[in-house]
Amino acid sequence: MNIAPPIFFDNGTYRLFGILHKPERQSRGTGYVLCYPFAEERLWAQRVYVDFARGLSRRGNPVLRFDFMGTGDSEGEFEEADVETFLSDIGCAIRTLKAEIPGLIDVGLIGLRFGATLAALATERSDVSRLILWDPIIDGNQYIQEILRSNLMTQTVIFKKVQRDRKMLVQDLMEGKTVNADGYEISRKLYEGVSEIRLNERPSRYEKQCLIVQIDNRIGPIKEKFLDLKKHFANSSVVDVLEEPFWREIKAYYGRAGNLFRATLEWMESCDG
Amino acid sequence: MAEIAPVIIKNRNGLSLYGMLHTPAGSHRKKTAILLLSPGIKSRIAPHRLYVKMAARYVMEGYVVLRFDYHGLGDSEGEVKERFVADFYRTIQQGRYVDDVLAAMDYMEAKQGIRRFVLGGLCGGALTGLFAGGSDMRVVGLFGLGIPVILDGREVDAVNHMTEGQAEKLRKSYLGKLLDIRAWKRFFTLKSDFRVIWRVLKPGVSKPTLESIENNGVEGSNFNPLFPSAFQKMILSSRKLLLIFSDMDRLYWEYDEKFWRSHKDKYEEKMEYIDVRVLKNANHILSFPESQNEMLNWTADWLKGNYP
Repeated sequence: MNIAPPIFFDNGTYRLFGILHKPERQSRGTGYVLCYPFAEERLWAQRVYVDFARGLSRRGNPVLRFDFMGTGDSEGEFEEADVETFLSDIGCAIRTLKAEIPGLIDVGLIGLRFGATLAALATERSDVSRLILWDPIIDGNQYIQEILRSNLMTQTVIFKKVQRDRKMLVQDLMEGKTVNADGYEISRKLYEGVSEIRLNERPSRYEKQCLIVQIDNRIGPIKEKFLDLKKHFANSSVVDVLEEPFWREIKAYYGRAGNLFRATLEWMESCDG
Repeated sequence: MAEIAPVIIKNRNGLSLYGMLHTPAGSHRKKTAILLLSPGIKSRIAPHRLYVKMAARYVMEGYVVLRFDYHGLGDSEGEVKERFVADFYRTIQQGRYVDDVLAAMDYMEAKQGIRRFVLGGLCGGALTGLFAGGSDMRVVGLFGLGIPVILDGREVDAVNHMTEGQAEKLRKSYLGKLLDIRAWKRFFTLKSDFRVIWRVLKPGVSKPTLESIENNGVEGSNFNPLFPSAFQKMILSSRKLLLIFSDMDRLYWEYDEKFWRSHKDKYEEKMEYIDVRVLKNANHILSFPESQNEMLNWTADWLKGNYP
């Protein structure tokens, strides 16, 4: 196995950190930028990302895994991050991958949960040849409310009661204060930016190939929200895979997600022709 | 401004460990370096980037800081083959990553010319540091956040091994819920954990007896039998320990009830080397900035005072 070099690359005034997985055999043509999910989900999902990136590199696809500004090893403070900086970071990562791999033209985006949401939004402003959405967050408002709930839970553990309820936390945000969620300081800009996201509100302008993956630990029908999302992407398919929710603390140790990888690679093969 | 650069360290099995080296600006570099040891799955970053914040603070004080991923974790090569997180944690509690720490010190010695190290870490990182200190005299001190004294594992029944401190906390919590309709609803719809309730409402059941303390580390106890000897090696060789716990974390009660109460007599002459502090209003991962800042101040002052 080749050593994947760790790199810093500039996005304006700050540096982003990433790991560049160069293809271990003749290039398959498409490179991939991997977009991490939000906050602690990034840490829980990291090894799945690492394993998938290595698999793609063995297959001949160059990959860049990177940390958004204010997360992981990238520069900046999390409270300065918002949806705009995240999208700008994805654009920068795409340009960096192209610059690092001579002759690379096509770059696809792969994201999990909120990372998938950002990847979908990034197609509106960056040239993306393929889009792979692993269990995307579709309703940003619902998601940010879940994030705020973690603050309430932490208060309950520490103070044995909720001292500042959800309404007061939102009030704090509106007054320009940050609100802590699992140790991350959420700003008003981030809160509002995430709240406004509705991936299935209008048809996406993205017309290239798109894969939507429902990840569930029980076999069941594909949820309405994913079927609905499929309608908003002109050239898309949706599949379901059986996996545990490896982006949060669960009993099983998750170093790889075999079913997810298989479904994704099969789709890539069909796109490659 | 400090320089931050990625590094790749070969461990003793030839696997590449990915790390980040923080070097102070200018020439006022201290002779002791700090290694921040991964808490477990959450890599060299740690929960909510705690290690990034810690490294930034210590490098400002003039320390070279290295944080890196153990093999099989974060960005590093290797694999974790355990199928369950609890079983994986148990292997950390048995010293799984000590050799990676020794390899990191070898790297720092070869590349930076540094031969004195303070190890720091949260949870499993603190314990790995204690074990590494026990086996390598280049370690001159250790600061640990929420150091565990027990062994995890899928087979370990946490309810059976609950400390009196933990039981007392839960007891108060249950008393506070006596007028809570939702709590009673959970109770009558059998959604409550009756084993926990039974355990908690019978004071004394979970109190450590002399027999249970003496049996620590053998069948019937979840105490880690490797902990006392590693602790002893550090202290009896006059190397300093700063142990910080969070008041809302079971790990403090476990340290106190399962280890310290039965071992403190041995260290009467060595108390100057042991500094144990408890953060108020803090959880295990120090979510809130107030507890993070207090911890950063405590550790930075302790470092400056002992390793100038």
